[in-house]
Amino acid sequence: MAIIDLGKVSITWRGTYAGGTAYTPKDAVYYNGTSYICTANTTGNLPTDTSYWNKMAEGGDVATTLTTQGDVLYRDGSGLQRLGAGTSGHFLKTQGTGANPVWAEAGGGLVQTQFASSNSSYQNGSQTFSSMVEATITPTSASNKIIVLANTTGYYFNANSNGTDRNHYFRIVRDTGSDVATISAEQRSDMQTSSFRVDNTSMFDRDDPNTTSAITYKFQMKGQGGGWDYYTNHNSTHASQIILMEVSV
Amino acid sequence: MDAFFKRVQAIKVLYPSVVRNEGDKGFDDNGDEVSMNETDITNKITEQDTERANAATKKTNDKASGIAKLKADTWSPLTADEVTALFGE
Repeated sequence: MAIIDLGKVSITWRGTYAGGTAYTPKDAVYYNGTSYICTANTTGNLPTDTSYWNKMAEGGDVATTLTTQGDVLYRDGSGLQRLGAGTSGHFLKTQGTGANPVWAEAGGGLVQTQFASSNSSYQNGSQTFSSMVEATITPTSASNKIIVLANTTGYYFNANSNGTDRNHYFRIVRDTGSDVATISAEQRSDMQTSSFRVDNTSMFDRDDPNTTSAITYKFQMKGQGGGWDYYTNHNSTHASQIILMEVSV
Repeated sequence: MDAFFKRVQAIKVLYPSVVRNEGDKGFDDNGDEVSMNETDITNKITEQDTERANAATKKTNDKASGIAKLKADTWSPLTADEVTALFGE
């Protein structure tokens, strides 16, 4: 009885196309999102070469556009496009109708904080400003803002049995090393008679330092002389603190 | 009266030019540090503590003696300190 070689009678799936593999008719492969069937013996001819291959099933734009882990698909004016994985920590930002999305930093975020609390006993009855507490921060961007919160709790003491009103002056300054600028100031009136008075003074402001160099913010006070003193920083009840917050805009 | 307050009061007597204290350092109105002797400061604090204690004791005694004079009905005159202790200034 004669034996007739019918060859392949069904499709043989060969997996992803490889250039060094010999393919024969009815071999099927996967290549760039589309499956192909071999129509003639071939080695090294891409499945897109119609002399040896025919398409079986086309994967379409989605399969060919997305190529890498983290890719995001979007449509521009002409068709589907790939937005490659962006910088870690960035968020997808729409730019509105008629524009393509992009990766971007989250706006208005808190970038860093610095905190300081002084435990160096402080008394000032002079007419010269000096720091009760200070903290240093190095902005990550010149366009970022610095929010400064400062607080001191202490007591005033008037050594005179009688007298006229005296003032105490508080301020927050930005010291860049070469320049000192006052960013906030406040005046407090003091009592006239000999006594203690415990008080709390808080100040806060937003600063635009416009630098990425280290800057020091100082919470300072001075008096008006004449025996009126301010005491703080010598126990947990009488202390001064400053908080610096860098925010992106 | 806390320890730091006592220290400043002692420094005010010993070093009148010191108008600002930060920790154990004293400064004048120009912001210049003033050299201070810690032993002298400690001794002055002790001296002022004694003065305050003596003043408190005297006030207590004046009050007691003033009350005793009033109760005794002997018409002994009160001293100025007894009057202050009893009725204030």
